[in-house]
Amino acid sequence: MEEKLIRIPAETQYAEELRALEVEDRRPKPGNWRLSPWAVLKYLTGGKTEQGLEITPKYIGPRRLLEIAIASLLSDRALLLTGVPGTAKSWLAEHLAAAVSGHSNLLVQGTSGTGEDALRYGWNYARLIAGGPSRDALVPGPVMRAMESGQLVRIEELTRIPTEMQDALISILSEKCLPVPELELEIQARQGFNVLATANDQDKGIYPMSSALQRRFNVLVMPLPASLEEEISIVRQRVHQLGQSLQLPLEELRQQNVEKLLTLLRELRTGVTHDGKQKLKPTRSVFSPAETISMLHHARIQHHYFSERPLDATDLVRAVVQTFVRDDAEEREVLSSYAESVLRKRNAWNDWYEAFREQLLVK
Amino acid sequence: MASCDMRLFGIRHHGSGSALRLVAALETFRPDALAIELPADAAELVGRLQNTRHRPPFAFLHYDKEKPDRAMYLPMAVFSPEYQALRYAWTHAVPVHCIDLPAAISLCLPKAKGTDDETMPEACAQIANDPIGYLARQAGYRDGERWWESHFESWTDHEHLFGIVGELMGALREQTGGMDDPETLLREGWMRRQLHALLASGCRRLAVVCGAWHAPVLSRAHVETTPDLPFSETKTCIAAGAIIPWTYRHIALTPAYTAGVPAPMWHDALFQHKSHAPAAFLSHAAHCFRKEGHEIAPSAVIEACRLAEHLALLREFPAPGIEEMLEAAEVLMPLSQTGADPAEKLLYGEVTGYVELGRESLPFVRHFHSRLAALRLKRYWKDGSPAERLLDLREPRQLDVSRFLHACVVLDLAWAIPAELDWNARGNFNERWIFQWHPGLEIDLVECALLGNTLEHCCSARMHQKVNRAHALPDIARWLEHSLKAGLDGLWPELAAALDLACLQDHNLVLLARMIRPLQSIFDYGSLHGTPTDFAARTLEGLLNRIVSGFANHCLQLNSDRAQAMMEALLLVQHHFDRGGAVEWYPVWMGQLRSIAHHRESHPLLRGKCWSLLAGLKEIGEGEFLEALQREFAPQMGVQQAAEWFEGFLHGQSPFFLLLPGALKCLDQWLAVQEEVDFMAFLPLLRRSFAQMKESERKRILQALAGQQPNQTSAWVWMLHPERSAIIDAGYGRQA
Repeated sequence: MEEKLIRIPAETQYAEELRALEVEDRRPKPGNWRLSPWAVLKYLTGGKTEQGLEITPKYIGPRRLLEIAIASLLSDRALLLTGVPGTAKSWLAEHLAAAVSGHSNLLVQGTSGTGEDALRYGWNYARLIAGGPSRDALVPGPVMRAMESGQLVRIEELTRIPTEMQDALISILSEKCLPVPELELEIQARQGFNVLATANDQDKGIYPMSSALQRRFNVLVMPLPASLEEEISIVRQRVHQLGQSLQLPLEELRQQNVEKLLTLLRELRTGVTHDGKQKLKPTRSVFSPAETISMLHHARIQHHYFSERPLDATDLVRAVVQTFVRDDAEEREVLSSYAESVLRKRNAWNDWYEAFREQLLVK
Repeated sequence: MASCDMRLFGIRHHGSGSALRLVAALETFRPDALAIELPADAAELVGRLQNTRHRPPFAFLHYDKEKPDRAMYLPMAVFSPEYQALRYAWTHAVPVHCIDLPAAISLCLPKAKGTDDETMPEACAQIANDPIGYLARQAGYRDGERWWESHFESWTDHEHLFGIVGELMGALREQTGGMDDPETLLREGWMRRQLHALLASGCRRLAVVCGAWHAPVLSRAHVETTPDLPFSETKTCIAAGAIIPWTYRHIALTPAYTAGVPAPMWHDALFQHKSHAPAAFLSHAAHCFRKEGHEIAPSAVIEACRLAEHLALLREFPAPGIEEMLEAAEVLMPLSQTGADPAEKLLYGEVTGYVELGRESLPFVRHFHSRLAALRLKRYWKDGSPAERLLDLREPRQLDVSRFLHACVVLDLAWAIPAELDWNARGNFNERWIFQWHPGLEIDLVECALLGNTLEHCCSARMHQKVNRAHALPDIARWLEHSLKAGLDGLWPELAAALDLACLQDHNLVLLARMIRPLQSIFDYGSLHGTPTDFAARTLEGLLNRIVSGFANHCLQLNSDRAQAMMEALLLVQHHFDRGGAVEWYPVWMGQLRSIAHHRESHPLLRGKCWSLLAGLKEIGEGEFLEALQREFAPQMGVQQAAEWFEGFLHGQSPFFLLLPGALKCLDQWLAVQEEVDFMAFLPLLRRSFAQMKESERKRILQALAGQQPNQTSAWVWMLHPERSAIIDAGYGRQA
């Protein structure tokens, strides 16, 4: 029976590319790395192999960011990706793990309930009670398994883990060994072990990292897309992929609608119009690419099931207002000020202006 | 002549690698004469420099005595090959000859550079303008510096290095076929002529230090065979020279010198520490950040070095360069959250050179003193007690004095202080100034001299500096005012942009509203005096957008103090509309007023004012007003709120609408319902509001009440004390 998965892990989806890169990789590889650093860079930035296989770019953004990430993993410091929500931190971490270690399933999901079991090890209580402490009764957590096999382990949302738990990582990262006092042994990390963490810097309810832990990480801030074209290509690619996985005959978004939507979101985010002439009041919401992608995806689905006329400005504007304004009066004010001062003057945007007026008039 | 051994050392200006290699080469060659690519009139400055105490970076400044604006700066840092050549010459007592075109001629040449030259094809122009960049692009590098550093910096054999560089440049020059922009050709012709003379003068070993691009055409063969260019026909001017202290920041940013260096601190580290430059640079970075209060551990510095090396490895460079340095610093000393811009400190440092100076040498100081003399202000520029001076701006000479003094304020020279200057005084023709001289002003003048050669230049440079730092709206308004009164038109665009930005970021509507009138007056008076002030109109437009769009939202849930402040803002905006400004925003503004008037949560003070405005402007009808009043004065309205409503309603306007029969009845009913305690509390508040009305108005209300309910006693009538009312009646009777 063929199972339809919603989301295939990176190393399976791009197995062909990884194999092709591995085959023709003649450069030196650090211990236990599947590909050499230059091949990892190629995998992430895209290009062509010698055989002519097209490698799709995984991350659309400044190349130097990827270079810094890979160079960090080469050293014995861990890597921490931070940034505003929706800037492809987890996405990049997954692909880095897939390229460097060959799989991305060593993952610790950080929540306020994450305990030592996930970061170090747990016990098989039945065996423990029956036979006392022994290696068989030990259930290794993802970090320990990564240490033993010399691979990358990912920790998502590091700052959601309570600070005391986070500190369990300190000695792992500095001495690269995990003591198991119950068994009187130490698990030494093999070459190729490293920790890839991600953290959001915008949420409330975050546990700040202690400075001792912070010192062990190289911090990389993931930027928002630098140009409109970059953003359009990111959003289009992902919305298309998401739509495909649902296998519904969703209506394709028209290029000009997507462009207009992204232009206006960009202008609101950066606080200045596209041509740089007019300055706007800045918004509080960030309109990151991930939010835009999910908003567009949602709009398409909603339109597919509940609407009869073609997908146009009204649907998109409604999606924008629902997602970003909700009940916030200040944001509403900013959007209406933007509509009045900028959209009204653009002739080609008449339907968008009308749609905004209609949506924001709700008292 | 035949016995003279001439060697060419083609260097990259301000290249630390070139400097190191040059010193080694000179030590080996041991010349007895040194020719350097410096303007011929710099020879005197070089001589002066040898005997002056100094420390790089400094610059040679050449300027036209008639027009000090025309100037050339030749910076020297410790890592400049030219400077190292000079040091060698001084140490070994070798005579120095400056062989480049004299500044007197270069200053008079037209400014057009090779890019718009039609005589050269595009490809040649690319090579001639930036030969090293061209080579770098051919090799697949983005950046000329990187290419040069990767290929030549690690070269240890200096003999062959200069030879190879010479050949490389020779090949490129062949490609361009000897074409170049006229200025370069002129300079090379001059240099050839000087070298010809030097060769004939009988020295044994002549070392020539020049830019690598020029080296091929200055070879012996060229010097002896190329025909001379006609120099007698070129224009000259009287040029003066000075040596001024310079900063690394200027070296990186000054456009006057085309071979700029983007990262002086890095080159400094490369020169002083050679292969340990990454460690030195990153330690310096850590020191800078610690001085600002960030704690950077030594381990972070170590890790940053390693990261830089790994990055260089990944990018296939032989050694880390400035980009790797900056990225490593950014990753390991993360300061982006604090908003500090590390690049400045890291790239430029706070390195300022030192030169022992005489006062007369600086053009700006000379200019300043000549203006002082011309405006007869010399008597205030000396030690003594504070002096005062009144200026009448209708006199043209005093207007000049005023302009000069305002320019001094812009330059932050704390000498003349304006007394009691405010926005409304723009139409006022008198100004009062207080002068207080102190010795520190001399040093301030020297600092200003670094910014430019004339007063206008210095002012614009200083304003540029100020605007780039953080600033608040009132500050910018003040600077705008001073530069307006100083007549410095060139500053307005920048200040206007800064004002726009500050208006955008400021959320205080009251401050913004206070800016309306000054901007309007700039616009009005500007058009009177013929000065271009469209920026004022544009800023005003943006300002009104900000204020008017969200005004209603800012009137909700305020306390009394804030409400008073918002009242001020409201009145200012209304006043602007009353004077006839910004007609297209009027409907939106009316919409906002209506919204405030109807909203339950807006402050009663503002609500009352909006009602009175709307009523007065006939935007609402009588019926609507009465309905609203009935809603407002429902029995559950508190006394405090009612008092505030009245205060707002009666503020500065006649209570015409209260005279409507329905209105008074409504108020009467409401009053009657109040408890005695509340009523007593309400009285003084109400009295305060009514006290603002004119006597005739009060009388009319009284009459309306009396007429309305002739036989019933109304609460309003009881407001007046019987005895007092008798006196008043008697008084009226007397007048009538």
